[in-house]
Amino acid sequence: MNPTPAQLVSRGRSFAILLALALTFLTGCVGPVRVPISSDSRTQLGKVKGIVGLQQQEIGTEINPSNVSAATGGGLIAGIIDMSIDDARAKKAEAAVKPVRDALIDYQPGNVLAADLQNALDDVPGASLSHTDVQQVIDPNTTAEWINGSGGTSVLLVTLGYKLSADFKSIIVSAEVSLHPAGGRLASVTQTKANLPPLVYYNMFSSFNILPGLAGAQSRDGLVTLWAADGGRQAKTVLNAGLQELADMIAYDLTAPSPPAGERYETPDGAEKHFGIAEYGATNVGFQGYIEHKADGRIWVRLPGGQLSSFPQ
Amino acid sequence: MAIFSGCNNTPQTSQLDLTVPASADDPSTAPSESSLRVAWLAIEDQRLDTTSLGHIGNDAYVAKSILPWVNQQLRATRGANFAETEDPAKADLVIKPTLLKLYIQNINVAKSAVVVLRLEFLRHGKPSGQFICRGQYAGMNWWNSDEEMAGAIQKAFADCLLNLTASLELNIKLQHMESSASN
Repeated sequence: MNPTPAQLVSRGRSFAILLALALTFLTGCVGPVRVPISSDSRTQLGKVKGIVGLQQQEIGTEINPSNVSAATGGGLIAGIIDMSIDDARAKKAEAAVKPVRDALIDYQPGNVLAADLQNALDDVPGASLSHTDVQQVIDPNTTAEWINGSGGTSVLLVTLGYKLSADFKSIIVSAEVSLHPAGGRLASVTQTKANLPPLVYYNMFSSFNILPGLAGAQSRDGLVTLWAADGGRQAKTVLNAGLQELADMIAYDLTAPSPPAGERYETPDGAEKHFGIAEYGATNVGFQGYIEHKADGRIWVRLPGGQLSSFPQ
Repeated sequence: MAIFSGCNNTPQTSQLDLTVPASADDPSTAPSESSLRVAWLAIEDQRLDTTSLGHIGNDAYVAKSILPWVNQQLRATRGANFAETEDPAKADLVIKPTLLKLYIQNINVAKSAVVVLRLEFLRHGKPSGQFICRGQYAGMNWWNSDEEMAGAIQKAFADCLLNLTASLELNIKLQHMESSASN
């Protein structure tokens, strides 16, 4: 019997999950990532514009990092072997992905997400967008410059990432989202995160989507052919679905409840636990979270830090 | 690991100098007298931002006025069966280049540079197909130095030009075959 897509993902990633769970124990005491926004604050934002920021110009790749160092207890030689293996894997991944990138050459994920956000946020009181721009993130100061230069308009900043998984079976879209009130507004409740200007909301999202119809073993070249065939139809379909889901998750999260300030998102009584790895840009987070939403064959999982990630059911 | 990957915690923005390396004319690819005359139209930049060259870890790379560099390299392209002419009216083949992508990025300890051009061909003033020319280079990221990143982009561009030359030569052969058949 052919495995289901969920089983395929589960098998391919079981080792990585074990490693990630080990990491979870180490990071268990860190405070929440999510900064929730109250309904009071939302209604005081005034006019809000969206900015979709892109760091990358094309779909990214990733590799499963070599683990010789960890397996052998470390050391310089093992470290050099790890780097050499990682370098070779990166070269292979970059060479293999060419047909998919060619097929997506005119695809504009930023514009797709901008349109999806515009629609999804229409029903969120206080946070509907006047318009949404799509811009390239040039350097670490770029986003602050956009926000500080927005005049009397509050800004919903969505920094988008998208990549093929290391096994090329899935596309992962992710977003770092922050909401910045226009100058002077809500000064008493703003917080700071990294190099971002004062914000009243922050969270991270990811949507993990498997190649439709995937069954059984496939070589990487075979998978590339499937993603790229017919002008990248499958890749575009999956990206569109992932971006739509990101927009829906952001809209949902802007009104979702939160635990008392500073507390992590513990699994509520009766909620179903979920183990996995969520990927935000280049950062992979192993977690034990809980399912907060289930629909249309997808589950939305709340991580202990409050991040929201979606997976096939 | 940090020593080898050159990581640091302070994000920096580097302005890369993409100068064209001096190159001697290669007699093996010197065009013959019956070479096709190729003219280049002004290049268009369709990137979302015309200065950004991407990110490696926390560091960002930019280059201003990149189009003259791209243009210069395109016009320096030589093949056995084609040569550049300045006047599009006298050209057998006119090429309209568009810069679609030009970036560097990191994948774990490696860096990857990519250049993508769209080349639209015009014959006798009429569209005659297009070619997406992709060049790529991937290799270990040693020091995050500006020279290393500029070198990676130049290698990716060189790969793109190789693909371009091969495509032009093929295009010209097909054209010769078509002309022979019609005669």
